[in-house]
Amino acid sequence: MTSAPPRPTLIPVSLTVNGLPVDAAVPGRLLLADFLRDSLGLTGTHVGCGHGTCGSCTVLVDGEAVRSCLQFAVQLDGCAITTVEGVSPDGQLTPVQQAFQDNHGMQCGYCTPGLVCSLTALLAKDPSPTEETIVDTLNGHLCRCTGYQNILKAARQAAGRPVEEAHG
Amino acid sequence: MTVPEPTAGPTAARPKYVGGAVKRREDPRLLLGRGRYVADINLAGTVYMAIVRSPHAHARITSIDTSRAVAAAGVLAVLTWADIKDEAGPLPCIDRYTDSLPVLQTALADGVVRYVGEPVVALVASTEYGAEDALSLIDVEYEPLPVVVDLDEATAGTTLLYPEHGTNVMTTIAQDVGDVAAAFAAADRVYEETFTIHRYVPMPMETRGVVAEVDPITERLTLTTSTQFPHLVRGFLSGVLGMPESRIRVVAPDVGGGFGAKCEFYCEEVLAPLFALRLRRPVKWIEDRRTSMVASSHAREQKHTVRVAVQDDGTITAVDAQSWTSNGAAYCTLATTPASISSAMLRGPYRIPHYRARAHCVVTNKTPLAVYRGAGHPQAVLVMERMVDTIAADLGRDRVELRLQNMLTPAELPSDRGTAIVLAGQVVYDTGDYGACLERAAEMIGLSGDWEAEQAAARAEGRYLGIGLASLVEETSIGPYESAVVRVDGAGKVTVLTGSSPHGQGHVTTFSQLVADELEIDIEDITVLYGDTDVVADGVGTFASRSAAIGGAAARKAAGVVKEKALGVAAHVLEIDVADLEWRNGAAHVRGVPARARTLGELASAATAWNAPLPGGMEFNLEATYQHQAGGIAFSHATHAAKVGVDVETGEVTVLDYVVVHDCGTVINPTIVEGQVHGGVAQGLGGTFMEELAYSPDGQPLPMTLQDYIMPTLGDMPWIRTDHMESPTPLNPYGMKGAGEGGATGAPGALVNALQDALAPFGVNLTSDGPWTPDKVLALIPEDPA
Amino acid sequence: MKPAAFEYRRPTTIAAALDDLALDAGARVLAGGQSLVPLLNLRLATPSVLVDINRVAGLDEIAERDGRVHIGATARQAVVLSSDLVRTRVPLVAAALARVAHPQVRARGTVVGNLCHHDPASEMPAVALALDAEFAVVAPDGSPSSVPAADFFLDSFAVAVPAGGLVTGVSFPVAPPGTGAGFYEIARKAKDFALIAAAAQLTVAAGTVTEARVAVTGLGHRPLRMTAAEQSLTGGPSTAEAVRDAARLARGEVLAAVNTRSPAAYRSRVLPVVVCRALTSALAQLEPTP
Repeated sequence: MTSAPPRPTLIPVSLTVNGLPVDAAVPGRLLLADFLRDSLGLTGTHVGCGHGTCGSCTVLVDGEAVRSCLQFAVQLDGCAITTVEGVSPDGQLTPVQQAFQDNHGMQCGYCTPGLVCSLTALLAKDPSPTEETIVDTLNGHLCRCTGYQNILKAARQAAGRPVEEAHG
Repeated sequence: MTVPEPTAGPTAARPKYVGGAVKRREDPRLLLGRGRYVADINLAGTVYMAIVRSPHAHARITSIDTSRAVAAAGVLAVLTWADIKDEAGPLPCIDRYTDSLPVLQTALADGVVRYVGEPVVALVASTEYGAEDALSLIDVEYEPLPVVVDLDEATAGTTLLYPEHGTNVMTTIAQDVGDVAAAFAAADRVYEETFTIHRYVPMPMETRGVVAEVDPITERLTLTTSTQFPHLVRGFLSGVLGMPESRIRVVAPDVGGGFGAKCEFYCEEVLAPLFALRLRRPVKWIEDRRTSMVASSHAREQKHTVRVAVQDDGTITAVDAQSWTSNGAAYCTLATTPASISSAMLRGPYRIPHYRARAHCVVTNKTPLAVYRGAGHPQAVLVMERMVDTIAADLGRDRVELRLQNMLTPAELPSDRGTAIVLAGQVVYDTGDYGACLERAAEMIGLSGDWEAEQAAARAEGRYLGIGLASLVEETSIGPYESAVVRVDGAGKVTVLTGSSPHGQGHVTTFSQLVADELEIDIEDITVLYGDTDVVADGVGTFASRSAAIGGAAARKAAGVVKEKALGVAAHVLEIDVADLEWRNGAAHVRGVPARARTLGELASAATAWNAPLPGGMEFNLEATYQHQAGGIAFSHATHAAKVGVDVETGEVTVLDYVVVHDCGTVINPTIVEGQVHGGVAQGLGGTFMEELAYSPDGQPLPMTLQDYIMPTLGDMPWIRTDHMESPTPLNPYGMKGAGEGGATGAPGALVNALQDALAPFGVNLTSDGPWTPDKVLALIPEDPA
Repeated sequence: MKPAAFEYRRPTTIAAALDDLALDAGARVLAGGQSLVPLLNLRLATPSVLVDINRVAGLDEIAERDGRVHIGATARQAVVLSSDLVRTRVPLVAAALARVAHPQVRARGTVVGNLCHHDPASEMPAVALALDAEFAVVAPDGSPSSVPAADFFLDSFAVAVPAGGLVTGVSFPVAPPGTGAGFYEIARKAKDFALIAAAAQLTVAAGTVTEARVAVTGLGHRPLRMTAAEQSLTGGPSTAEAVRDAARLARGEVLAAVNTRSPAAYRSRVLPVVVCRALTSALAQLEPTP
């Protein structure tokens, strides 16, 4: 009953996660999302679909928002990852996070970390994005609770745009 | 934002939290990635469950060979029905009628599979990846049986899922009010129509999951599960395994949305405990998205035929309705509720004194169908609101005016509607002003004055615009009860325990608002606990828009009892008659002597001071338990108004504007209520324009991923404008009704009516809720619309 | 939904990549992974060897040479989309790429990978066909060849790359002066896969169309060039009326089985509409802005 499974070939990886160096040996097929959640205990990254559609698992890789369910951990050798836990290392809400609370841009909270990561990446590159850019970014995320209106408000607030107006 | 500020002096009037847009207290930890959902729980020594599911819609299992899996490295255990049939009884259905035929699920297929995805064999392996690898090592042979997925064919009964019953119709629900035959005999006009409602699903962003373990200290079973009702799960599991409830702890941690899909008791909640009991190791199972398409409950699919009796003056006198619900392969936990609600609530806000309905629950070779936000309401609203528009058009009447003519007025309430809803009881509308709500919505959407001219001008330019209305009354706040405990510690901090376990509704915030107002304390001084049957002894759950009204009332009532106890303690401490005390700003004050007061913390310390006990008869705590029992159903109401534009060359529909005017009684937190409305509208919009869990004729579900089962994103949504009306219910002391489901309930009716309005020049008559994908819309439009 | 086990290889040269691909007939190339990894997670693809070409030097180029814009096999869609070179020299590529997936996917997905995946509902194959793109293919023995788009797309999810071979890049001809590009797509929801989409490019000199390029995706197993519409426009006036007349000539075999998201009858009916709208959009770019 306790016979071990065949030992997979483990591949060494060295990367930075939330500013800290991580050295690990991983099977080739280990998804980045599982590596972060199960190997590193960073469970703030959520898996909603496992095939790249919903955006819940979005993290920052070298500053860019990407789907962690569509990357293998082994591919991230030498990269810098930021998860939702690393967006605010001191535990204080960032302006992006605060905007979600201010505008009730979340309900169950499952999709929220992915959205926080996407908007954090966007605003780091472009602190004053256009409405079109904001919508394009948010379209990459599924939320089943909010109907998106309050998420859009949150994103507008974080981007310094007027919060209350109908969108085209 | 109107967050109350703590007041300076003890005599100043303290602002109320209830009614204020208080920011959610649960948000910061979720935003920081500190939430804990089932999948986030990684106990030492965890092993992983995977399940072989039927690839056939209907088949007899001729052999199961698990030997390759059993021999495989890393596989720890395998279970088939033969292994567990003596331990695991059938899964419960709690809304069966007394004459319903027994078609219950089992934790694993008992020789016949009746839908694609039905669990056949379960296994446990040492890793999650390895468990999925091992699925291919289980060899199952099937002998296919005839498949029936079409509702009409299933009703005809030529192919039977349970031949022993001789029919696929498992329940017929009857509603009889007045004299329908006489009303039709006297009718000036009779309208008859058949409507089809397609199958779509809740699809919360968090899939389901369980972790089962045997606690090493107590040797009790702990089941952590993504559920909307942990206390009911404890009872269900006890019943299925024949294990006393006292030996079971059920925990609902953070739950990532439910919408009804997690208001069910599932086979995995039996199988993981069975493995945990055998292996004495934590057993974890996380549903993957593909599996969720077939393994989480489906919803909505119905067919309705209605006959409506109308007088020439527009008075609707009678409705004679039949419906058929495609219940899927077996009865699940909540199986007849959609059919029951549809049949009980079809007339909505309209008087219609004579009414007859027969609602048939029919088994089909599909995943079991259960409740989804609104349960049977959205279907009923679509049917009734389409009929009202049809009648208005035929009579040449204004659709707002015709609705107003037939709507119950506030003076006619309360109104016993003569129908009943399973598990909830008699339908007696309590309060509301349906007409005012409708008129406000019509005004906000612009359905007055120039609308017809605007519409005509747009059509002349090739732009096809339409406005649709849907007025609804919905059952909320069902019982039987909810429990709460309020407890004060020596520092004056308050703990609230509620049996209503949330999954995004913001209970921590709204329950804090209620208790803070009752005790006149700061909201930050309150901790709300839920979701663990060992922490909260008793509870029902979060579904049917019940938590704020029933659970919230229980919490506030319990706080009120605590306040009375605190006053009693104060009377003792201050050596004064309790009648000379008043409660103000979180403290007991001597009337007329503001300086003589004792705070809640001081009183809690006094109540629990072991070295200075209270006199005999007084309890040694500042704590109260309260069970709020629902004295009836509270009925919320709303009117939805949608404006759409149709591209008549491509069939693409754009929702240009959307208005919801609604009344859920006393509003605790308007921001949270609006959020509920927005989310519900998005789900209704998804169901109307894109979402469908379609099946092939041989019973294969077509969507496999979220690329196939498409749901709205931001770019698909209109800007939703809301307005609140408040008609408090007398059914609880605080006037609250439910707000969770109205958005999803009204959206399909309003959107389909808007589409109908836009396409009216083409002579269309929409008798389906869609999904109105571009191809289906374009098929309604002649090749050359000019 | 976890991938089956595979052997992971990460070559740094094309030669090493070819060696790795030669390890097993079940070897596959991993570039951005945004189409492949979903298939792996669903176990709809179970390669024995995954050859990650992301560290092969020089494959991420975006450069103009010999009148063409070359895009390497690992150039990310996001980088291509934001490239001034692409936007100004091959505007149709940028117009279509904005409709491909979402920013979070484009951050990793590659243009070449998207084309090699060849989902029949994908946008970019129509662009490649319309513009007569050329694919740089390296055979297992290392010999390079150039495959025109017309020969590249064989069938749904099948392209003309020999087993064990590698596509190292794609090139598009630089748009001549006086060119407008237009892309029009019908999808079930914002930024979904196309039900049908048209890519169009018009080059105009002195009010006369000198070159018209139109291709449509979503009809059958391959993108289709709308040659009758192109011929109708070429040599004629660059007017809205000419565009409407040309769009009516849009024809192509529409297969039901290819795209279960919408019936063949629907796609047949809207074919002239999407062609007209793509051409109209292209024409609009040519009009002098006030």
